[in-house]
Amino acid sequence: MEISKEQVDFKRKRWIAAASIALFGLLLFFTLFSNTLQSVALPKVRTGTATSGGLAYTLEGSGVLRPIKQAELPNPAGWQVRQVLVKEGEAVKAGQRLVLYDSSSAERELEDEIAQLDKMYIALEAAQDQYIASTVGGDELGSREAKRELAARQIDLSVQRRKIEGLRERLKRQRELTAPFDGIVVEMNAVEGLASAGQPDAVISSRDFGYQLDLVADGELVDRLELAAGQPIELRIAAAGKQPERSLKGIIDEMTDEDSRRAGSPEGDGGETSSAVRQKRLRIHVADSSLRGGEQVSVRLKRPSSEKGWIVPNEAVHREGESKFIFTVDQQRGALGNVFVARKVPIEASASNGRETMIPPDRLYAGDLIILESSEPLQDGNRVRLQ
Amino acid sequence: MKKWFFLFAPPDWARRAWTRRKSRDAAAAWLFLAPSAAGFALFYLIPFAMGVMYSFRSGASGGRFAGLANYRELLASDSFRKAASNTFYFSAASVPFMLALSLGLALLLNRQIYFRKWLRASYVLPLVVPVASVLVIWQLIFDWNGALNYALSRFGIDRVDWMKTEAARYVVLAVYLWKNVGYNVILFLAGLQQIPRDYYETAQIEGAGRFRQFYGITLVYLTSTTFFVVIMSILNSFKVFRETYLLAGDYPHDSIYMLQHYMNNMFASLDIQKLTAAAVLMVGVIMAIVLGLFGLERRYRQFME
Amino acid sequence: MAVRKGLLTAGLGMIGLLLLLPIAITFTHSLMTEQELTIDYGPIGQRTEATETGADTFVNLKWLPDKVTLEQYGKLLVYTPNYLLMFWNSAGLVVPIIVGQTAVAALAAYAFAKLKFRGRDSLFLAYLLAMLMPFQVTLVPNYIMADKLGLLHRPGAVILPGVFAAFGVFMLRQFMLHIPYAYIEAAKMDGAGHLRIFLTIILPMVKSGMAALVVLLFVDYWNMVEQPLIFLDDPFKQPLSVFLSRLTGEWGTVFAASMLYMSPMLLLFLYAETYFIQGVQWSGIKG
Repeated sequence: MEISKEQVDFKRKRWIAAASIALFGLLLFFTLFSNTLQSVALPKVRTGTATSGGLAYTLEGSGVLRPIKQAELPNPAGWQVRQVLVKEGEAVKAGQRLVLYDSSSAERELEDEIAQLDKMYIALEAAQDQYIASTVGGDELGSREAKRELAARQIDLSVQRRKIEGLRERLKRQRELTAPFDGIVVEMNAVEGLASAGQPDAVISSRDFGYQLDLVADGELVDRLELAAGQPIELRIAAAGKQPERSLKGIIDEMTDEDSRRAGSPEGDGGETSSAVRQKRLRIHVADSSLRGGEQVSVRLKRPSSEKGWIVPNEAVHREGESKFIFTVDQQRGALGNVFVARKVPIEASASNGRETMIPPDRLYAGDLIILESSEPLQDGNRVRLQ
Repeated sequence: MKKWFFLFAPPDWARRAWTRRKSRDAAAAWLFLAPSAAGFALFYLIPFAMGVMYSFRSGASGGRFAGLANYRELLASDSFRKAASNTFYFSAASVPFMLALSLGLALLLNRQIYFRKWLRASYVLPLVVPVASVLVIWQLIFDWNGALNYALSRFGIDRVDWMKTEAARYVVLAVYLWKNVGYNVILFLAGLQQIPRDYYETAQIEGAGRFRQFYGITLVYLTSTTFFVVIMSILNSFKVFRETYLLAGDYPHDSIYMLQHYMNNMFASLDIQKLTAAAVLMVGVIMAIVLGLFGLERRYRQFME
Repeated sequence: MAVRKGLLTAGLGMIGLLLLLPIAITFTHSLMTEQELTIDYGPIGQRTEATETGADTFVNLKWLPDKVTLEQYGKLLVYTPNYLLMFWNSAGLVVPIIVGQTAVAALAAYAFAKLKFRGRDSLFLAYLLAMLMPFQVTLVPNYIMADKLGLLHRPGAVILPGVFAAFGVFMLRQFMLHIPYAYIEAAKMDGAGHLRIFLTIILPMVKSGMAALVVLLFVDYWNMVEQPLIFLDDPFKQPLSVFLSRLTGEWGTVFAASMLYMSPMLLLFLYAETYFIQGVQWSGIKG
């Protein structure tokens, strides 16, 4: 009886001891591994650091240089091209012939008219003779009629002469295309043997007036870059053929407001937050004798902002209604080792160019990690796992 | 022969043995005592002496001797008076109640019953349960929308906001009883089991009734146990502050605002003078009660002998 | 007779069950799902106009969960690392106190129980009174003392006063008092010194007393709230008792945390129940 009771007691104690060991083992296990277990389920984030400094505003654009003075010369009469005298790109002087046209039909017409004129002379002589005969013959009535006949013939004759004169004039004008001013043949559409259709046969541009480039740029950016009419600006011409890339000077001629276009937010979160972006058209004037027009040029204007702050990539900036914020990573002392927590930092006053955003300097500390990308949407205070 | 060794009165034969080698023992005794005495002095005696000192000064550091000014101010303070009277009334009401309840339960447990060991264990178990882990249960029970009010409403009784009215006293009392009744039951049970059976048999043969037996034998033999239970109950009635504090915070309802709350709050507001004066007064009162009980016990035992 | 015995047992059993109820509720609720708890205990702490008029918004106190789940424990152990840390904090405070106080108290108790010296009784009275005083009594001087000793905001500020607390001395003295002098006399005849007597005779004889003391101290210090609150300012150094008292909000976690927190105590009690009850009895009775 006693022994069995003791045995029961002993058994019970062993059981309790086992339970205690299990309990402490469990707690120890979780103490060592709960951080690991937990972090598996945490949002994974990619981070970067913010750089201190000013924001570089960059205006980038490209376009084709157009000459300011340019003439499009159409085929004056729609005749077939007989001969093309100049090539595209050739420099021409004022009055230089460019294209000769096949004027044979007009010449034939002229000859016909001249023949008609000759015929009229003959008829005039016949009328004179008639008049003389009537006058000598004393036929008063016949003489007067012959005189009227004579006057009418003379009128016909002068009309015919003027017609021939006109024809000749036209022929002379339409037989050939001449350069209206000193310049360069920019385009030559005329092809020998064909009549031109639609386009001008040749385009001539003047060197003396220089070239211009039209650019459309973000209005805010233009303001930040403090661009104004009259300012010099540097352009680059892309390498073309043997010509290496080179730069040239331009001057902003005028700035005009362009129609605003609607633009979505760059992050694309939601998409419903779009705002009218002010656009400006810049007209840049370039004077350079080596240019021929039609060159592809690009503008790249970079200027650091006057105020300083923290620069973060735009992908790190989130929007919620009107307010903007970023997430930084706080290293907090957790119970079991350090933990990383996402901290929401509002950035009311921020400036942005296309790729980066500048945050006021009091918002971050040096070395703060900025969350660039997260596997899940974050909230302030969320624990995160660093990649 | 049973003796109460609680404080004084070593047995006679031991006293004789001691006097013989008193001088040799003394040196060894101090060696044995040294670690405890040093720590005790450092963490209890000296702080208490400092406390007494502060209570007579006008500032904790660099203050002047202020006589009884701190005490006068303290006694004039409403919140101290409230706290002191609450503490006093709570102990005065709960200790006899506890005594009666635990003695009754011990008497019943001492009868012929099944599963005595299990029952005893279930009575003691609350003692080992940490306060903080059953806090939430007290909340469930005593909340305005809690289980107790639900039960009351079933019987058509209006609900009571237990923690925010005078009723808070009963909550504290319930928690106190729940936690400590087992401890006292064990003490009484041990006392009861020490009473020789044949005393009752003799009494029965002599024709003594139940009540006569209870007063004549049980209570008499339980006297020293009772003294111990009273002292422990007073001690535990102070400890119930922890439950109150965790349940109701720094400023509970007026009816359960105890001296410890007062002292804690004085500490928080850095009113060292009032705090130390209150502490000294409390120590004085506790000391008086304990010494009074010892005196009473000794006289009672002498009377019995 | 048997009927009476049964009725008495049933009556006492009812009281026993009532006393065990809070523990049982904690256990069953720790197995409930968070939704169930939220639905049942939503009205807690919501005294509003509606409830003022007696509208039926009571909590729904249930005994058993609708669906048994260990979810709350999982959540607690994985997502509340503070809990684990503070569990070990508690252990880190309690274990040194228990070991220290038992050792220091055993030595002192021997002096008080078995040796005679001048001022013994008054010193013991001082110990006894110190044992009865609430912690707040020496709060300020203790604080200043801890500051002077450089212990403030360190675990030592809680541990050291615990090590030198009077309770262990008082209790072990009670146990040593009834070791008969004959043993000591006999040892002295053999030429044993006090240290040897203490180690070879006294200690083995008060083993059960020390076990009881360990249990009682564990109960007491596992529970402490005020001392760490005042002496440790770092929230990561607080023991579990402080943490639990501030844990609000998620009901399920609270129940699971409470259950895990009390389980070492329950296991220890079940393991050493005999010692514990003996210890309590001896401390008050024999002599």
